[in-house]
Amino acid sequence: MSFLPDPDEMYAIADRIAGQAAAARARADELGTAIAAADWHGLAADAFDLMADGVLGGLRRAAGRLDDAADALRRHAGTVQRMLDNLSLLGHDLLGLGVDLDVTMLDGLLHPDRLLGDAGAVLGDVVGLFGDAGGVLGDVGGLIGIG
Amino acid sequence: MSPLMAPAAPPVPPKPISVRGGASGITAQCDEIVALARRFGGAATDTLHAAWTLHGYLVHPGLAESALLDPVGYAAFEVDLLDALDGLHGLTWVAAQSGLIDGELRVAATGYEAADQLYSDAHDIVLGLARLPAALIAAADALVSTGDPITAAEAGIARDPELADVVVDALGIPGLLTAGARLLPDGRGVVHRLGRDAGGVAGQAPRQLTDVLRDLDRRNDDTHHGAVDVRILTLPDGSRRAIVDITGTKSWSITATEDITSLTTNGRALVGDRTAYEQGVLAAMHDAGVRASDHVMLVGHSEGGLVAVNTARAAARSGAFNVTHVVTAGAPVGLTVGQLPRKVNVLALENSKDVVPHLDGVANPDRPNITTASSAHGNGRVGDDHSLKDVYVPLAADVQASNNTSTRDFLSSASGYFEATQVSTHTYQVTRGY
Repeated sequence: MSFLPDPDEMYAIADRIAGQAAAARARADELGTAIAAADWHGLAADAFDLMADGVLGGLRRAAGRLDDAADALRRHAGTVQRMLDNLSLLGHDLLGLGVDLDVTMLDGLLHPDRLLGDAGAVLGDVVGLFGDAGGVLGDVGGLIGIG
Repeated sequence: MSPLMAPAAPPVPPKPISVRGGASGITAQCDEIVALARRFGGAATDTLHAAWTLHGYLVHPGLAESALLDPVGYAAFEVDLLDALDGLHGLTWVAAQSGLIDGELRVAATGYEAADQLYSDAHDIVLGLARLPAALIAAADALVSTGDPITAAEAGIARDPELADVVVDALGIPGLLTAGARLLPDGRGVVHRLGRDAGGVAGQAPRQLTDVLRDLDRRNDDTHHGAVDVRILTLPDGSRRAIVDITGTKSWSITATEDITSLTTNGRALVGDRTAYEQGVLAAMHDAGVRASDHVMLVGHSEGGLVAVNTARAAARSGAFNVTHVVTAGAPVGLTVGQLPRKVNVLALENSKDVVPHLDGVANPDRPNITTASSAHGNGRVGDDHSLKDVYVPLAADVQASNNTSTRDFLSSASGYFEATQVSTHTYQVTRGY
């Protein structure tokens, strides 16, 4: 079981929220058509029109805000996806560095003349690792408004 | 123009009509209001369900975990969703408001119906009493000038026909009439062919409501008592319609008689009992070749209107004929017309000076499919105020000229009957057999 968030699930939820927004808009249109077709006049009818206008407006405004929420969730899912990708890359780099270090040490014991060259390669991996970590930090910094 | 020809009479301007029921009647409006209430009730349920589901995303564990990686983005989403759900005029408010509207609309519809019922119950008493002094003066005036108490009574009734409803109801006349009629055997309806009629209006396809009433009047002028006709109309597209004309009382006999128009039929038809007359009308329709798929309009004057309503009900029950429209002229159908199914559209023409439509003691029900149209014609004599030719044909013209929504809707629904290119009029006499 993974404790990491699932961006695919987040996109699916955003789609469901957008679906509810579309349903609310359709409901408002359907009610609007029924009200327009009603041949009812008088003071009570005027009072009803006022209340019904409020409901129709509320439904349409709520639909718009649900669309905003769905968009916000999609943006959030995109950010989470990017961060997960960078973390995954960092993990992969660390694993590679460990293996390289082991090989270099073994090779240095067997062939002391190559030790300098192997150490240089390891140093290159470390530099790459810092680069990926910088990407992750950049994302975090961007999220909390630094830089 | 020949100097011997008399100048044409100037056209009589149509009179304003008063209308009860039909597409713009109280019941139709209440039905519409309740239908709206149902829609808002449905919207309340759907919206509440949607709000409940969406609230679940505010505390969704998968989304909460994602806040660790992007707290700002997660917070922005939560704020937007919370605002859509519980903010000012958010979904929760919309659901509550829709439920409120549902309840208020139902209360309004019930209030309208109760008020209309009160109006119907009090209408005849209030109007009857309000016009009573004028009626008494008119009756006294007629008595002084003619010395004839019948003429005096006619003058009084013509001034105050609503009082007839009150008196008829108070005396229990519909019940007495029916009880008397039930004592007499009604026998069975026997139909006799009288041949085709291609003369006058019978040979012309009707174009408007007055043409329909004029043909009924032509049948009414027939010397045969119980004269009916079945008019097969063919439209340009080959489809067919049928108009059936049913004439009214010609016999005032209260004994067993072969004359189908006698009071036995009146007493039974007034309260919706089956009659030999409607049996004869249905037999005539079969004989004329009316098919189950043909749209049928039944038209009747006075007793003929009562029989038209009964025949429409019988046809609806048996499914033998597809009666879509009924037009009655001066017929007391208040006790029976409400029994017709909603698919049958009824136009009841009632001259406001005519006492005959008041013999049922009740106003016609206000239903979307039942339109009662009235205007004032006649000279104050009971017989003349009930005349098909002089009162009800002009009243039909008033209806045609009116912009009232209910009468417009009725005529629009009947438009197919006014578009035929061919007509074949089969005439019959219905008698009573024992």
